[in-house]
Amino acid sequence: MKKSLMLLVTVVFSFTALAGCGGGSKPEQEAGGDKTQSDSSQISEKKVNEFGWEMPDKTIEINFYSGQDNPDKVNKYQAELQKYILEKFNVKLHNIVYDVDQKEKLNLMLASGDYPEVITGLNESQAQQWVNQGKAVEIGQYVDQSGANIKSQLETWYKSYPSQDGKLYMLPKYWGLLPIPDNSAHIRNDWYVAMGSPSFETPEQYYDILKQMQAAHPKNAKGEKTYALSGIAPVTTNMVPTLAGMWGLQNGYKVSPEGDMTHWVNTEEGLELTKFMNQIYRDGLLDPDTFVNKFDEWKAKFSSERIMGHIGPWWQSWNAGHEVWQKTNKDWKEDQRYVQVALKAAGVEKSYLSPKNARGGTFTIITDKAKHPEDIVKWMNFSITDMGTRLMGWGAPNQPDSVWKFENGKWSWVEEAKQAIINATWNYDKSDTLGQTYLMLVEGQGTMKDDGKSTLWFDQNFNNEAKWKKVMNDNLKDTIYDNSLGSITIPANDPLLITQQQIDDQLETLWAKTVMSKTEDEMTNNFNVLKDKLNRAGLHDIEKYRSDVYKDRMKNWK
Amino acid sequence: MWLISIPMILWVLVFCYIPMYGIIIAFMNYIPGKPMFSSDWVGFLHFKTFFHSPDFWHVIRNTLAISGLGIVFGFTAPIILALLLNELRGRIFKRFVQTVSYLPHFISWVVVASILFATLGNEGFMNDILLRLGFIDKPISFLGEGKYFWGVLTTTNVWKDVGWATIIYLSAIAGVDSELYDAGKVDGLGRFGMVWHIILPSIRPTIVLLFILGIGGILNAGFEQQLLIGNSQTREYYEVIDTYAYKYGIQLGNYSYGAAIGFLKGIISLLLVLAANRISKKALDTSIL
Repeated sequence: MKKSLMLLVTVVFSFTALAGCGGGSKPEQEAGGDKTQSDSSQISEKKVNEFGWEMPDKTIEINFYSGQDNPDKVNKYQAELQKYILEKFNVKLHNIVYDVDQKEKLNLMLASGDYPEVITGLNESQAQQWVNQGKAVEIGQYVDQSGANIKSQLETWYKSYPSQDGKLYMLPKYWGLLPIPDNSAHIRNDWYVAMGSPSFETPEQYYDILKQMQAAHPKNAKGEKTYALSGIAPVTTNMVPTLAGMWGLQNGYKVSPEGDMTHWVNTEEGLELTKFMNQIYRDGLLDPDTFVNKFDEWKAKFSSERIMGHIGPWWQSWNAGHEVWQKTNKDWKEDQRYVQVALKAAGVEKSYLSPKNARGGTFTIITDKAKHPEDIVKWMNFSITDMGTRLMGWGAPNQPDSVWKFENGKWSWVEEAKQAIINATWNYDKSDTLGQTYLMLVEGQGTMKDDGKSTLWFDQNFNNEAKWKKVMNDNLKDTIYDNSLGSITIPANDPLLITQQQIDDQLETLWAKTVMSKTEDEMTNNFNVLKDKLNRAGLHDIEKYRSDVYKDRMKNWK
Repeated sequence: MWLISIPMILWVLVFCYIPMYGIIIAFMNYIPGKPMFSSDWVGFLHFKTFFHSPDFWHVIRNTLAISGLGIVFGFTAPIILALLLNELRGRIFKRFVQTVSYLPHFISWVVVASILFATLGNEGFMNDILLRLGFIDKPISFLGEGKYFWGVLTTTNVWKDVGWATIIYLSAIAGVDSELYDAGKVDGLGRFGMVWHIILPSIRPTIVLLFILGIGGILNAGFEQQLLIGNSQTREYYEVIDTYAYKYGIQLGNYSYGAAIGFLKGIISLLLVLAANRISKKALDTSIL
């Protein structure tokens, strides 16, 4: 009995050990990396895929950090496109995110030396910080060798990216100018139509309509109080630049023809827009949580029909308005939605609501961890092309859920997906599943050159056919402007950065207090206190820095 | 005894004292990613920047006010509760009350913040009741007005930690010699008399010890609770040294600035402990050094 038991145990151990050995090789095959390498290495001639990409013998692996997000979510959503690109291009892209503040994570990466070979989504001063510390690779030579598309796509902007000594370390992401609006005022459409669609142009006229609308709908279906306007904190970042644009300011600054930039709190327009908000507060029609709401809290109020209007990005009232109602209300009708409208204060020549940065506001660097930076540049050189941009922006073609097809060198839309956008029935969860924009490094968002109309954002390709998008674009077409010169960031480790943070913090606190003043006199007094405090904290230094950079760009970026 | 202590002494040395060399970056312009000793020496620049910051006075004021309220209420409340618990006679009831009083200690600040928003928010339970009873005609912004912040925070801190902090006092009370109670009875002391003349003098060393240590932590005015309960409207009342150092030091990547603020806080705390210890030694003949 004892011998039999020993024999049994020995057999079991032996099998387990063998099974363990076998199992060790299986994941490698499944992962595809080594298999692809060994298979590819047997190919003697270079294989070119249907996108014109010359398949590398060895898998190009690009791990890139892109900022703060939920890692599980991003891993789930990038999987499909990741697999497609590995199969078709022999390139393994891996988007790494952490649920940690991006600024904090980047500093920890620098301090610890633990970072991947590519980092994207950096603002210019963050990218410069990596360059200054010798952690970013100079890529000019690689772009000269194999980056013809990069140069031709970026055109005249290309010369604005190298540092002062002429070395190139960063390439832009989301460059290009797509003339579609981003920000605006919003109004509840069906209730507005029910009022007889009265015309309005100024913020005061707009508020007057919201006021009447609120009077007609003082409570929602649950008996909760309604408001004319609400906001998402920080309001001075999320709402004020758009509001200031209605008074003719550009992204919160008054810009003189000579390039002098004055912050809105130091302008008459700043006082006027504060008066406007204070009036809404004093009428009891500003959501008391305006300065506290996080997006989800605001969305909960907005989707429960408690807010008549909104000032901010167009997608917010879509996301928190009809996109929720479509799913929750079986009797939902198409006109139950918000429409985006332009406002212009009296006496103002032009309203500046949607600043565009054709040069690109975020950047990608290759770090010193990259063993073969030339391969990464090669991939960028493909992905920056129009077809590459389609792939990155729209997801893989020819798949069961794809939104586009690519056959015999020609591309076309999947009609069902196109109609879903046009009819505003597209489920945006599908965009995520397709991996749309999850694996981007250097793609532009302007109109593509090969057909003069396609764009990176899948849902922005049918604006003239999609009824409500067309309404929005027609309403807001004169409010879009090129803000490439005015998109200025303060370099990392510059003492002005602390000043900027102090000013931002104080501004939000003191402006909230000013807007929530009980009388107009109190509001004016609080506004003057705000102005004095910010100027004492160094706002004039910030204005001077920005003006100097703006003027320098006016001279050099012609 | 020394041999037994060696591992712990080594542990303290390795994990508590050796890392202290990093404090040197408070006097440098340390840039993350660069070797520490290749950074520029800037002396007291970061300390001066903090002193001249527009936030300096309200950060110090808030830290001292929140901690001061914590000492006044947060320090006395557990003593009172421990004395009251000690007077409970029913064993099961006493244990039940003790357990209930400990529970808030285990609730995370995230959950506490949610409870506060649901209770004290503009559309919270409290405003709802006050409006329905006709005491107010529009909601009071308990969490949106600075003047309420210190009160809300102190009350929440006391509620959360009072039960937990009683444990040490209850054990001190349990250690009081029962003969003292018998002697008190003989002398005709009632329950209040017992507390005043026997229990409090007996647990005085524990109270003094915890007070001196509490003074050392006076600049630890909280961190998570400020970040979770505070908002832009209450910033002038919630920003304390730790939140300020985090925001301007860690988040902006100015580690030197954050280290300078932390170092300053450490020095002040040490001086406070030494001062409290000296006073206690002179006045009560009880000290920790």
